[in-house]
Amino acid sequence: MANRLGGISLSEIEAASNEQPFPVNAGATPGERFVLRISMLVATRLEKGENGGIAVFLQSDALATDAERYKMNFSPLLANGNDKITEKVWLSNAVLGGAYALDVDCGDFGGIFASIQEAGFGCLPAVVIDWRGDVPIGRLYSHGILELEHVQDVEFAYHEISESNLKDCLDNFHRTSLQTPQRVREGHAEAFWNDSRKGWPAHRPEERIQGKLIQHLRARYTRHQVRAEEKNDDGIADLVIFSHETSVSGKRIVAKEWVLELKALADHTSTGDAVAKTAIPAAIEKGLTQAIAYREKEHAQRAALCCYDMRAEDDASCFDHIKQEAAAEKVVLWRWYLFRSSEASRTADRTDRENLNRAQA
Amino acid sequence: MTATAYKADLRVRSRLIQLMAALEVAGVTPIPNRDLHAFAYLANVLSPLWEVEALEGSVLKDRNGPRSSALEHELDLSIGQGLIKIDSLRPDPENPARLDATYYLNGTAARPVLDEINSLPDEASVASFLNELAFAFAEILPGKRDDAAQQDAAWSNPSIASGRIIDFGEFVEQTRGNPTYNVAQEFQRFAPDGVRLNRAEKLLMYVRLLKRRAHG
Repeated sequence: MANRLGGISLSEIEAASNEQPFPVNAGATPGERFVLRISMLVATRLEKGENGGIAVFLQSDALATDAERYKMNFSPLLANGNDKITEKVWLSNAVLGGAYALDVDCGDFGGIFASIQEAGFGCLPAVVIDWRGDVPIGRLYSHGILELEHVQDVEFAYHEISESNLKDCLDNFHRTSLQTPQRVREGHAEAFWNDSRKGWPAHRPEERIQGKLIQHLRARYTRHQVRAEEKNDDGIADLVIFSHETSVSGKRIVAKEWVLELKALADHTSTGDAVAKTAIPAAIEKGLTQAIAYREKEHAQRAALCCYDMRAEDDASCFDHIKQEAAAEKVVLWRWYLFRSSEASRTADRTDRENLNRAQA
Repeated sequence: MTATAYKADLRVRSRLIQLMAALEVAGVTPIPNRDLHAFAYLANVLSPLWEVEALEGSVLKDRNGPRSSALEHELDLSIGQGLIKIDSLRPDPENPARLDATYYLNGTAARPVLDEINSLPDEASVASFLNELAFAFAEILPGKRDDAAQQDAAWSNPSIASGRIIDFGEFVEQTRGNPTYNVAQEFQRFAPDGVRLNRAEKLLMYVRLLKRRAHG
């Protein structure tokens, strides 16, 4: 029999496994890596006492070409943290392997975005850091500063993720990437629908949502790590959000803050077969069981069951049969509705406004 | 030379542009010719991990390291077309009769082409695989990247002599007869309790193993 492992022995694999740190950033997209690098740089600059002003980082996917006009303003060692970063617009790549300062007057806050646009970089992913206060505030424009609605917060400082903070992040993800089929296309996400008009979801939509959501979480919680479990056959996808901490005795520990169970609710299969009405409550119940089990398995502090509702009817009562158990087990239940068209979303908005007006009257 | 001899192979060309784009994103450009071939080789042997099609399923075990004549041919044509630019050109320190070039992607010319390629679902998957590999490849010291490819499990297989063909997917099954794939899968055996490694983690751990071997 030919040597199955070629020129590498099993003992060498074992030694390499033991030596190297667990690859927490494996699978991160270039955009996620870009934000993480900036976060590390900001942390270093914070330690060195920098504050005041605005900094913008633009992520180029072809730096040598994009930077041809700015060769004189090259900072090869910016990522080391020894150079001041504020009051500049930086053009760099996903690994901050050198950066070029654009000729933009950062004292003119109102003109910064216009200058970036004039330079032809309005479509590049941008991280804007407002460091005029004590704490740097970050915002990621994942589609560039030309598409202001695709914006999310970037947290540079570590803090435990509260329920409301996580909900805000997930709401933003829903609003920018999922709410309507149009949003899904704009988000450059894998399609979640096979045929949105008919209500046919894509095959295994949870995995597709998981793939997009993990990017969103990593970009916001830059001092945490987010890891996805391997897919399982239950149509349920898991995410765990954790951080590396040091215990009071100085030991390095992994603090797992949240586990998220993702579940897509659909009344059709990807091939158009109708899903039995009883299947939805059963799937939700199973999701709750999984959330509890996964939290225990991972030793995580909190768990949430996140349902993405792709059914024809926007029915918020789908959690009624598990509310009590979820409360007793301290599992948060969240649901977001995926409209099948932009018109349906607008109609729902109008109805909400009318109901609100009636209530106020 | 006839026009037929310069016929472009769009499949190889599009993969070359994707390879260069991934290297560009990971900050590994300008890239020397040898390193580009090393990267292309690793992409071939590791492709079953991502379930993407390898550009080539076999390679000649040459003492100078992996080299693809099809890729080289398309590289020449892409430079001529302005999709790839030459950053430097100097005598090869290991063989003064040869010229050693470094390349980078011409973003302006290549972006519309890449947009078309990556709009195809299978090619989008290739792009994500190559990005992952490029970030791992970037961890290897610049002078050691071509050495790392020669430390690969299939390449360093002692049962295949120099000057023979290494078959990792042409006549053998990619997920059985490919030692590189098999080694990458073996990392699961040593993963922490309860952790099921995903393909990106296996890929990175494998490339780090090559780095460990190449760095010595």
